[in-house]
Amino acid sequence: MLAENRQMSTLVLVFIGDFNPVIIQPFWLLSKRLIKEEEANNASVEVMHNELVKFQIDWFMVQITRDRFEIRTNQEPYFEPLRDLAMSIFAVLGETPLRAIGINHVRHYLLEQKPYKELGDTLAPFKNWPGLKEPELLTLEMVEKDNLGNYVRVRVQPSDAIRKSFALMINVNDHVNVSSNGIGRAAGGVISSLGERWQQSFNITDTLESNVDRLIKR
Amino acid sequence: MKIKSDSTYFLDKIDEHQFTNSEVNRSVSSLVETAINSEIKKAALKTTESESIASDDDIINSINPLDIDKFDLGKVPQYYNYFKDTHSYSRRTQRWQGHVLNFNENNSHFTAKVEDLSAPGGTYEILEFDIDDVSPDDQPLVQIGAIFYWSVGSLMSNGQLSKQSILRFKRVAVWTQTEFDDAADLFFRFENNLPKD
Repeated sequence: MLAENRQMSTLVLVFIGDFNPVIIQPFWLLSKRLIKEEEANNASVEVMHNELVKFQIDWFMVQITRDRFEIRTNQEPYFEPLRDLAMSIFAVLGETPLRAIGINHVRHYLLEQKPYKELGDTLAPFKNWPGLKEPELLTLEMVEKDNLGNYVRVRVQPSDAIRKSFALMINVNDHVNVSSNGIGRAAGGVISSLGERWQQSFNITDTLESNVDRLIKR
Repeated sequence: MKIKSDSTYFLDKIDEHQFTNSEVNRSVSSLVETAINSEIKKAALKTTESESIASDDDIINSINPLDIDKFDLGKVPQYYNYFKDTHSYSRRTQRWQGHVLNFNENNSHFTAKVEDLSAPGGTYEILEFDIDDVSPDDQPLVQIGAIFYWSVGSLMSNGQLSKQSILRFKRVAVWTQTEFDDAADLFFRFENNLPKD
């Protein structure tokens, strides 16, 4: 099973809107009681600038620019705490305009050489590329859109995190449009979309993972 | 054309171990500023919410050749370790969400209802937890009804695999008195509009 062979799983929550990066700092999070005191004390602040804030706390990383807020973790036990943290930040900064929320699932797997190569042939049959003698699939990207501006984008490609041959990555970008005709709406009114979408986003990713697993010839 | 900036001059000097204190002070300041600019540039390339991470190649491809000297300092982190990367990630983790039901007589243990997060809406279990398993910072949060996350799995850290069990209580933004009053007003308005029968 592919799920059992998962080596690493990253969750990246991305918010598109208009931000003032320097507001959000480790001790600001502590002052709102959103992280532990020890976590704030041990934070690794990399950049603190009007245009960019970037810091790392034990289990998550934050990067904020004027139009993009990203928070991520590589540790599965903290997926739900990451969601709670993001929702709490935007509950506090309730007037911040948000235009979109991205729930990104990045999963990495190790395969044997044969099924790895054959998966490429299954996803994009090599017989359809007669000009190539020994083709290999590098990246496959699929998208599904709805009429509300939401979409799910799936990318299958070699892993960029596992430094071994035949490592596979599945990247699911679940995009939730929260704008009103492209204009940002107050975070306090739309941040609940993250909680509402949460389980469905994981279900979609699990289904896609199972589907890729089904296509792997063993 | 090779453009030699103060910063590359400084890096060369580091390699050769021949620089004065004043050169170090002046150039470190310049390095930090340039490194921050480089990070801003890298972050600015990530304009959508997709996962792709801007690489050094993206930066090199995106910059104006006239500015090339500003970006020779991609090497800075290697020299000064300003930017720390994580090499820790979890594997094969089982996650549950629970809420506290009650405490034992001496408050040393609490009982909780726990649900599997990989199969939400499924069966639940009633388990007992030792209060000492909760981190000191989280212990004030342990109250009846409090929500927590519990996980069991492995942690890979710098190539070393170890077993881990994590108990973390949910932290959410605390409502202000005004927010609480607004919510209460909304509730009473809603209640007053409900049919009386």
